[in-house]
Amino acid sequence: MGFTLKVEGPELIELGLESIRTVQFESDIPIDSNARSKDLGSTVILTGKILTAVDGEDADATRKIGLWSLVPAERADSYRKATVEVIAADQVVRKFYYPNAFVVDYTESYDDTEGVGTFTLVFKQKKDKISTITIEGGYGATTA
Amino acid sequence: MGFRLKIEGAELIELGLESILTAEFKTDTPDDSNARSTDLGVTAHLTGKILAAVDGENADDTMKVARWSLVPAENSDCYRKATVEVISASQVVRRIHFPNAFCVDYVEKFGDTEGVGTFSLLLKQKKDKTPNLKFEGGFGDAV
Repeated sequence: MGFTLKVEGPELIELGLESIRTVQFESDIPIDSNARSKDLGSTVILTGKILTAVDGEDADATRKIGLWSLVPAERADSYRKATVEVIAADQVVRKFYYPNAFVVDYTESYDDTEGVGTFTLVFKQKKDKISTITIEGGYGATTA
Repeated sequence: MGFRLKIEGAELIELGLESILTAEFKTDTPDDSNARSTDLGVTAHLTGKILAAVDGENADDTMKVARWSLVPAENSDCYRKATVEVISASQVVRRIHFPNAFCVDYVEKFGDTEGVGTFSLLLKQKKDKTPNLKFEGGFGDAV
């Protein structure tokens, strides 16, 4: 399976098949709810590699995610449009679209025995805008 | 053993033997109860695979489950009729029917070393409707 991430805001952030390792989608209400609760949140967790541009190509976009994770809450561009695609065998299995995503956690870690770093990005949809999330999939991928 | 899930509401969601890996049924009152408590809840926890439609067949219904998990509480469609069947050797071991099920947790996971994703669905019967739950089993499976 392969994954792509696109974050649209003041700048475009794109991470491709080489970078992302795992994708996790969650939607949940409090576990002790007696009935369907209004307290509904939706989260996406991505993990992946931070690649070094060894051949003179452009560095990957993980640095821009690091900068996005530092944008303070009073600025509008802390909310960005995020799209995650899950692609397998030329089929788009999932396309998650979060129009008002904000970063909850962003972690980068590096080690002296590895050639690449790893990142973990946790983003959430702004809670009052949950209804604008779209989930699509089950159609052929248009390979560029 | 095989499992089938059917969710009836605004749309029909069906997941079959190929998709579902485990099913867990749980009735729960507070652990510190001194006597039988009226605070009785019933949940079902299902885990399974998210299959990619590689041969041009229709995509599986897990996407509809994901959309159901996002239906807000003020919309009556957040409650749906869910039926879980446990089938073994052409016998229906259990058929558990939740007439007013709502989604508590839904998680999808995908990894770059796997060909399929996995999902985890936790659904619960609306607490004041717990007596409407049907718990059947022990009859032949009409295929």
